[in-house]
Amino acid sequence: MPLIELKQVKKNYLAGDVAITAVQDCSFSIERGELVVILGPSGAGKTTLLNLLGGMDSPSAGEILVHGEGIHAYSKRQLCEYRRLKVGFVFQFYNLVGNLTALENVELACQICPASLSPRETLEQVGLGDRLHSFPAQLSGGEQQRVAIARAIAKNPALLLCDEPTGALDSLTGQRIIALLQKNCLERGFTTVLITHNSVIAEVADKVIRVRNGTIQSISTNPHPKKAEEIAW
Amino acid sequence: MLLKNTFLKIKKHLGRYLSLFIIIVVGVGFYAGVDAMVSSITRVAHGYYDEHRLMHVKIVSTMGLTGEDALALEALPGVAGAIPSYSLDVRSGRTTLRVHALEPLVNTVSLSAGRLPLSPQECLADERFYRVGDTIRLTDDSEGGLLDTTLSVVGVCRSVLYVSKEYGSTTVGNGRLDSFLFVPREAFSLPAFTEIYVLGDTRALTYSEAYARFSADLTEQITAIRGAREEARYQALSSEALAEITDSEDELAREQAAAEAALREARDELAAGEAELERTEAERLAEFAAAEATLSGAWETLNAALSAAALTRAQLPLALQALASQLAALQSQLEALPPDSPEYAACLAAIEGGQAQLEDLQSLQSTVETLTAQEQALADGRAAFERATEAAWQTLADAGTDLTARERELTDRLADATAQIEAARATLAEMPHPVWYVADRSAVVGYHELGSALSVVTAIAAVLPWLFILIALLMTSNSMARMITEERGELGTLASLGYRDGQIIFGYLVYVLTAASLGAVAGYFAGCRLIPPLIYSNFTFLLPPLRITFSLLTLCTLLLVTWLLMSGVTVVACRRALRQKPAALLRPLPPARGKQIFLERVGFLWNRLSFTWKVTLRNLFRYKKRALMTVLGVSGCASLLLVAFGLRDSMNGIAERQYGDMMRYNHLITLQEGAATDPALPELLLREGLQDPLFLHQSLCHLAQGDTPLDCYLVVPQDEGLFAGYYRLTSTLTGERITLGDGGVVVTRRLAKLYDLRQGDTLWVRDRAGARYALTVADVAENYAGHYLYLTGDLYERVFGEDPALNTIVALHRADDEPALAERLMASGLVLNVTFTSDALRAVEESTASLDGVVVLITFVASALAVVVLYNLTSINISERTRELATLKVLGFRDGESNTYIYREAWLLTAASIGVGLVLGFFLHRFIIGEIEAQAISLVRSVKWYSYLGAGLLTLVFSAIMQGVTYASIHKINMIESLKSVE
Repeated sequence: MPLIELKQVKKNYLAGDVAITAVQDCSFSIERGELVVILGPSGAGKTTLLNLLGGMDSPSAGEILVHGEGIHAYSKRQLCEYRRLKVGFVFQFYNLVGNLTALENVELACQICPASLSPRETLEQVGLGDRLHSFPAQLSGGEQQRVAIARAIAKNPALLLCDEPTGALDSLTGQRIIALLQKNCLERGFTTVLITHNSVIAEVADKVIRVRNGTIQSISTNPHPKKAEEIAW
Repeated sequence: MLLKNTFLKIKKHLGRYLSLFIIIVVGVGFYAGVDAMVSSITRVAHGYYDEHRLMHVKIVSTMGLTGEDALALEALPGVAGAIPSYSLDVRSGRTTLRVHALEPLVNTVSLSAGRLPLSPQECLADERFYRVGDTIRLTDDSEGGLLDTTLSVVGVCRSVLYVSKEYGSTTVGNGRLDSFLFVPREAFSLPAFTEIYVLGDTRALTYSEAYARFSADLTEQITAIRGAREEARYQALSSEALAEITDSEDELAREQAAAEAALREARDELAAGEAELERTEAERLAEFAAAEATLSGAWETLNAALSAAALTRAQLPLALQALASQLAALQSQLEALPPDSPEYAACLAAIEGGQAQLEDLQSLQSTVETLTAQEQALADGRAAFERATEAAWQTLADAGTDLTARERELTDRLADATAQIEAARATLAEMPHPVWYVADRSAVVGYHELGSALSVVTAIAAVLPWLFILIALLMTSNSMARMITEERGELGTLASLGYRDGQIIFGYLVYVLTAASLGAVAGYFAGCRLIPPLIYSNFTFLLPPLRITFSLLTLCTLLLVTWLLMSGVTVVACRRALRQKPAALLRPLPPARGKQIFLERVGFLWNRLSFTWKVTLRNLFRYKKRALMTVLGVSGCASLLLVAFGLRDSMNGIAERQYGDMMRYNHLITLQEGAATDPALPELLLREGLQDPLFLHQSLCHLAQGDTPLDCYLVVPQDEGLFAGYYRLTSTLTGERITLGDGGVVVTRRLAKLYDLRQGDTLWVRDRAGARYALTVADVAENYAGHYLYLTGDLYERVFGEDPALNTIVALHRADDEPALAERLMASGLVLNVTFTSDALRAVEESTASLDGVVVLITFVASALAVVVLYNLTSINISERTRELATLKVLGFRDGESNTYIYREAWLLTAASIGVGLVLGFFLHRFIIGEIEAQAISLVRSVKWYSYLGAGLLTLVFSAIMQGVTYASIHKINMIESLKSVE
């Protein structure tokens, strides 16, 4: 059974008096351990889909099944629990707590997850073993993103969601980040969903979902995804 | 367009605009309200006194006052009028009333219903207790001072002489005055005026410094002529009395002469009567003797005749009878005889002879009868005479006794009258000198208390509003700075579009100045409208209603000041932001650098802390400015609350300390003159169950030092041991208990402060006659109400040259019914007045209750401040950390956990702030107390422990409420919106 299933998901919201449909008629599924890239131009609805997957929002219609459970019907509290235990998020602008060191940022996430991994080890794994006690302000963009990833991974989530993780980074650093994500996905089996408008990144994915104007244009599987080191932009 | 932007901004972030508005309202409102309050209330008091022409000085004399006294007073410069009047304390059942003469020129009444009385049967009564149409029957007018003792109430009023709800004390009834009456002057029938009211020439506001000086001057002037007037009165009374005595003496002499003359006449008459009686008696006796002699003679003749007839008197009737029968027999014989017979002739001759004998015998018999009758008559006559004579002598004797009695009576009465006249002379010789008592407006019951209340209010008004303004200023500046920082993006956009600095600043100025103007105006009116009535409503004084006045000048000044301050703050913040290049503004503000805080260096402590505590502590030090603002706002609130509660404690504390700790008797008895040595007194005390009575001498003396005249009580105890039990005096110099010694006098604290007295200094005291005496200060005692000098009997003797007259007793009583006890004591004739400590306590409590309004006000405003500040700070807190909070939400932090994340800091800060606030409040409280004490009453410095607790808890409560409110905000944070990247 697929880990995640979306069935005819529709999301619209009111902006003032205007009703905007962010996404509609979205249906796809994601298998365990897959690296999925959601591709699309700005305003296509990618972020909306990610938010729905991550339990940050509820669909207006349709079903979202995770592990067979319909999270579309979850209450706010249930969604919170879902996020807590099942989801790890990586943002474009890292969103680290500036007042905490790298280690503490990861610890922050770990302390609410009962099945979390060791923060220290996770940071070492992302290559920041010697920057444990640095503050985000003292870290470069790439290092900050790595901390963010470590934070997400340390939660030991079922699902890793990344919203334009390389958007704020130069191509070399970005490449390294993608490599990290891919490695984790392959070695640890974290199901990863990645949003980007950069079609080059889509080449490392197992599945690419193309989104345009709030609807899914195509879903294509990639039997031989490239290695992150092989791509460049 | 910029303006439209501004207005949209206001609409969108109404919360921020409102909080700015509210801070300004509170700051300006409090300042304006408190300022208005002081002037309004002072104006009410002054207006009231002025309108009703309240006297400036009241003079009473122990021997009454006259029209000449009034004239003498009017002659003084500075005196506009001296009006003599009457007053009398009477009873009506259980109520004790003071009856005043209705004076049109001074102390006029404020009629609330009905009309003025026109005849002696009518009166004006106290509006608090009586209604038009009531009848008042006076049951005790022992002096006969009023013409009518049944009065009908034709009007009810308020009197400017009674400003407090407690009407003071009296020497009648149970000592407490219950109410007052006003009657026309003609209703009084007293021999002299009981008081003179003096009105002076001044425009000074009552309770002001200028007025105090004026009052002192006037009193001085009056005191200067006092001696002369007292002497004049003495002379007048003296000569009046002497004239009366002389008249009485003359009359006595006259009456005496008349009576004696009458008695003499009577005596003469008596003597004459006696003489007359004697003469008559002798005459009649002589007559009787003569008659008896005649009678004896006749008897002798008769007896001779009888003896010639050889008969006794007794035999005579028999002989007569025998003879008669003989004759009858002879007669019959004769008849039996022939007429010519010799026997007939013999018989006839015998008959004739016998007849002749019979006739003789008969005449003898008749003579006997006659003489016997005569004798009887004589005897009767004599007896009657003797009886009559005896009666006449008796009458004369009675008259004599009567006369003697009358003479004795006359002597007695003469002696009596003479004695009375002597006594009158003696009394005249001992007549005391009249004494004038000159009192200023403190004779008005409640005048002082009102003054004190005003001082407290003024002192607070001088200090607190500034604190508010300071806080308000800080808050608003912070708020504006925050807003500008947050909107840097917009500033950058506008700048990049080409708007000049001035235009951009203008936009913000509109924002802030509209808030400021609306706030200032609203605050001003709200403050002026709400605060004075609030404070005033708690005043337990009988004053006319408060008129709220608004001053355009004040409003404009406040508005101007607010504008300047707000503009200044905004412009400074804007310019700081606009100094940066637009591009920099457009970039998000780099988050504050995370840094190691000092505490981290302390390894073992830091490692012990749980993770969340580390976060909390770091955050605290990271956002220093915000932490400082919180501390300021919350500690400000806590300190204000402490000041409010502390003031209450201090004011209540007076009563407790003075009448509970210090003066430990529960009642004070003022004795009538000479009662101290009266043998009935100890009995009375025993009977009423008064324990451990301490006799003392207490008198009012005048301090003649510097330019602050003062009256204080001089207290000299009889027994120093008992004294220490009843008066627990603590030295302000050493903190130890004071024991009276002969070395000097103990003065009370405020007195020492006013005259700057230290141990060893000399204090000059003036007695009633004006003579000055020097006293050495031995110690200064803690005291809260009134001024006292304590000294030993020996010292008193040494200084004043006489024994202190014991005229007061302090003791403990166990009675449940205090008024009844007072009545009984006063009915004994030995007691002039009884004052109960419980009454004094109540009076103090009442006057401090007046200041409840102030406490409530401060509490309320402090709370408002706390709420606004905390709201402001926590909302800023939230808005700054939205992104952080959103991240936490995404990470899966529950709302409660996110809450804790933020609020642990808030709680820590609040706790620290409360601590700071309480300390700050402590000093602020001390400062305000100092200000108040400089003006008026003494206050207890210490604050109760539960006041600290209350202030702290209340602040905590507000914090809690605020957190509750902002919890909702956290809950509402939209993760998605908050985490939107800056595109």
